[in-house]
Amino acid sequence: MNKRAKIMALKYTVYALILLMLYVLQTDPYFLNIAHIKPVLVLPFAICIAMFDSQLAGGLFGAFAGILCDTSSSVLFGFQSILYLIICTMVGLLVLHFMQPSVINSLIFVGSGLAVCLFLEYFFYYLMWGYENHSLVLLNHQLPVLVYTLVFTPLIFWMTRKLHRFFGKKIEE
Amino acid sequence: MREFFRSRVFKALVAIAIILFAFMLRATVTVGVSTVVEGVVGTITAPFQSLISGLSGSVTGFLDQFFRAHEIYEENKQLKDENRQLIEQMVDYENYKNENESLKKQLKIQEENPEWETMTASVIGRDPSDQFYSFTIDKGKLDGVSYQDPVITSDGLVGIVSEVGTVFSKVTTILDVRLNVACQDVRTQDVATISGDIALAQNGQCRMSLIPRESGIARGDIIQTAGTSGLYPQGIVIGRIGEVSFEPEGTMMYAVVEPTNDIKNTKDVVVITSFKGQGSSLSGFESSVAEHTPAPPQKKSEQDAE
Repeated sequence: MNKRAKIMALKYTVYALILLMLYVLQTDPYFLNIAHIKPVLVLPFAICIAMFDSQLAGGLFGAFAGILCDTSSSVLFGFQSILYLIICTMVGLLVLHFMQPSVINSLIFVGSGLAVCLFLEYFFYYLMWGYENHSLVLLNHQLPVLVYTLVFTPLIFWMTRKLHRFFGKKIEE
Repeated sequence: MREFFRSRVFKALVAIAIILFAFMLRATVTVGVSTVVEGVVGTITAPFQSLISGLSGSVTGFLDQFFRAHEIYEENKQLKDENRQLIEQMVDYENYKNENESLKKQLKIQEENPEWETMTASVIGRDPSDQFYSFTIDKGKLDGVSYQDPVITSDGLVGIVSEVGTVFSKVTTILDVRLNVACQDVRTQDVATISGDIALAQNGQCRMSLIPRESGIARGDIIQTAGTSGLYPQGIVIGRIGEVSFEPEGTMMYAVVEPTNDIKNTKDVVVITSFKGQGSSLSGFESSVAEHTPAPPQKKSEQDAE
């Protein structure tokens, strides 16, 4: 294994550990809990990886983030992993061909990606079954979760950029 | 972009998506049992979750007394009001008599409780995208937890185990719209169904439906599990009736139930792994009052046989 491969392996191991840590914090009953609303931390990190690395790395970390969410979620296993895989791959492709990795773009990607996931969950689990007051799920729970997640996105973007640059410099040395 | 769709990377990602889809299909068939991937991930993350939730729980507990001072004051005020109402209720002899009879029945049930096999568990995770406060506990298959085991605290019913992993389990609460529990008014003995309601869940309340119009249920009545389906033992307190109204359509009434448990902030629970009458349901009754979990239930007896 050459130096580059070793650094890349180390980089992705660090990414995986950070993703695990973010998942633990995300599901912790008390951490960042405001009025029983908590942010989704793993999706912004997977999206930021997709923005700075390739679409393959983004897709794989997206799938991993989705598997983690599926483990604690009450939705069908695979629901979020498939969605996160698709979203992160698309983000990787968009950054490769059309857009720049910036804070504003990270907010757009996380906002639209999470909105799609939350809306599909709302559609398949509430709207489709015709529960009474189903729109309250969107307004009183999913919208605050989305906004709360966007608050942490710049921080996660900044952390990912720092890590990406750090490992980039190590490879260049 | 076209090059990407022809590349090996794209094929690899599609292959992963297909594998995940296969797991998803498998999950629809094996309801209540975690998939291999979920089991592995859960086994790795559960100890970390347990450690972090323990740490943050201690910190939160310490800070709570400062941050929640106003809330505690309000709660204290509310409890005083409730206390006054209870004293007024005691004056009503007839009510007292009925309640006394009910309590005698409850006492009888409590005497039967030693037959329950229970274990304590701690809440180690809550799903941020779930608005019905479902949570993950630190006990799983290895500890003897099974799919559809009732989850309670000393205050009453919390929910049911909806998925079992090796060292963790997911619990669906009674606030969830997908969970129905057959219940009984302790005073009037009327049987109905309790289920979650999207609007009420935000206030930590649930809805009691299918109450006959001629029923005498009233505000303040205690509601307990009816135990007709074999999923919950009879006599576990669920909550108190807050408000009774007529259904806009039909001939039934409904009531808002205030669970005795603070489900939103539950930290420690008790899982009933075995109880008298578990898995045996009163057929015929279930056709009118369903007591089931979100997914098509696998009979407890079948699970035990496995």
